[in-house]
Amino acid sequence: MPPNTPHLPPWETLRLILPEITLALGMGAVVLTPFFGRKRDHRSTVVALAALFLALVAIVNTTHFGAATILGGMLSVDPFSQFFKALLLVFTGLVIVQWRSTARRNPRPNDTRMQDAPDLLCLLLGASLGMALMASATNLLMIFMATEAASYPSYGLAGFRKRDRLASKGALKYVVFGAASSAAMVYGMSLVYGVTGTLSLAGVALHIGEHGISPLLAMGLCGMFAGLAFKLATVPMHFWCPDVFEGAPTHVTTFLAFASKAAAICLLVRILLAFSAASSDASAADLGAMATGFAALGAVTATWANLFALRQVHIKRLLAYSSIAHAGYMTMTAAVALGLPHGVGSPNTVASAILFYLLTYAFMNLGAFTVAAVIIQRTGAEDIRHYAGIAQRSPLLAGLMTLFLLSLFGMPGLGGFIAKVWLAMTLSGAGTMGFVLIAVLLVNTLVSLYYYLRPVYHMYFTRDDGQRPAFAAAPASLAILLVSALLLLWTGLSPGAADRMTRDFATLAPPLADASGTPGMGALKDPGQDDTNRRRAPAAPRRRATFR
Amino acid sequence: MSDLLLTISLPHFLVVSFLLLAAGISTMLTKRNAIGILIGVELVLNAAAINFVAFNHYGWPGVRAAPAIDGQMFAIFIIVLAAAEASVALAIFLNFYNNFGSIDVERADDLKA
Repeated sequence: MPPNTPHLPPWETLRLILPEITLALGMGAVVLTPFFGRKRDHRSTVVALAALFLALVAIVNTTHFGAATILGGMLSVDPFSQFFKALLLVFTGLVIVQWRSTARRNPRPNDTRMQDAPDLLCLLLGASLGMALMASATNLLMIFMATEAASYPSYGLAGFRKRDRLASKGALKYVVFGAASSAAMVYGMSLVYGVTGTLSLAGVALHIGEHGISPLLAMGLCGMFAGLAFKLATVPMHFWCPDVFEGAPTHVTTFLAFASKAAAICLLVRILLAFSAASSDASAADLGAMATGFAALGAVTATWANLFALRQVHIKRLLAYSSIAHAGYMTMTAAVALGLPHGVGSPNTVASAILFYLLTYAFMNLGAFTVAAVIIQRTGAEDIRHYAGIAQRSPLLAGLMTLFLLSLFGMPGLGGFIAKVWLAMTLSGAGTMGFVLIAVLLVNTLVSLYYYLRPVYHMYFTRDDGQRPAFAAAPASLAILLVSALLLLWTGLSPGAADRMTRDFATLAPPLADASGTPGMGALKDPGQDDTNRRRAPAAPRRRATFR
Repeated sequence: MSDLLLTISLPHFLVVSFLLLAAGISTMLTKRNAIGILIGVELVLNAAAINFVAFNHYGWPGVRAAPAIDGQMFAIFIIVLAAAEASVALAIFLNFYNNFGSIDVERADDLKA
């Protein structure tokens, strides 16, 4: 065991991984529910929601800890990871509610059948477990295991509608690309392990700090990041995304669009912060090149996705391309974590900007997909050209959809705008490259306005015969929509509240600050030295993260 | 006879691993059958496993050999996860075959639902 690892008593370690344990037990419990009486769908839903709730409580129970590394340097439990996990669990719970409330009364053969509920919920919980671990992983083995644990249930979820040809096509693409990219990741990790002699992320970072990046190590890192790029759906690895999103049931699409990308971006931020924390003059040039690489990757991804989104008419495909674009924006920002130029761009700013973006993105994504799901449930329209007359038939839904789409675009007054401003502010700390990236962000945002407004145009300005009946969302769906809309309005309109959130985010411990398990990491970069770049001096103790 | 040929050392393992990697990548790129691609993936995974075990045992020149058995553990996890991945992938392939009557991945692109 590394000398610097805090030796926690076993029960404390247990408490820190209790959320994950709860999710794993929940998976088992959900699968077992059919053996206990009938009404398997209701019972398993209740069990799954209870497991999510208990895991959430367990997370809140870890907040007093600040940051800790447990299990011999495998996982680091800190406010950054715990915030993401809390957001992920809330999101998963809302996705389950969305699924229940948008199920058709008379299911078509292709719909997710209610008697399959235990299987679906087990896969959802399993994917959440993998993603929660991804946000905490600080060891190459754990990164590999967590990524795979998040992937396999996702493959199953993508192909959940077994008789649907689109779904099975999407799942095939997903699993083939996923298997290939995980193979690349493992081979890359084997090279990294060989060159650095360690599996610990902090150890790898220290090696890079001392020796720079040799060509072989660069190959290894490329392979490793290829696996992450697949989860993020950045450009060379994006082909699966639109097909999977179109074929999968809407609730699964909702889940994948946020959760898989968010977990991958959290992991990316953690890795890059570890590298920059241990950087030195020997490695500055190499890390700068890596940062440029990630910035270019993000910029190309966002641009590519926005250009292809322009011609999409299927609402789920459109939102799929939109999610790729958002992943691109976040990748661009994550690149700043490496220091562009070296030394600028404090880790805390990047982490908090990313967390804020994830928070708003989770809810605008959830809202837009929920409206789409309700429209599919009530009218069967998946093509946005069939959205004609929806503004007359259901004014509330049309208004909410407009709000979510405008927030995705970044309309001032909504959460999506503030989130993008924060990304831009973080980018502006990165010198010339940062301003290029801000320009990319701005142009992309303007381009995206076109395709975000297309569904709105069809809802409001295309006439139908006016004979079709009005419809409304089920109460539970409506509740999700209103909560999401209020959250976006709150984060967008109330600067004071946004400020408070800012402070809470900025007081997050930089990942790996005392989580390295390797002597010397803390000395190389003290988390306190970044105060000048914070938007506001940390007033609260750092354990005070926001938990929703 | 040179020493290199008589004693098995790190380069021997790396050559085997590299050959496996090359075979795996060429299989992935040329096969149109989904199961063929999966076989290519398994080859690459095993190449990585050989790397891990070899690096763990010999260490990279200039870098101290890892004291623990990290690499060997990683190799075992690769084997376990490869099995899990194959089972998920085969289930999806089977379902695809039921729907389309073929597991040709290039045709999967053209087939309309």
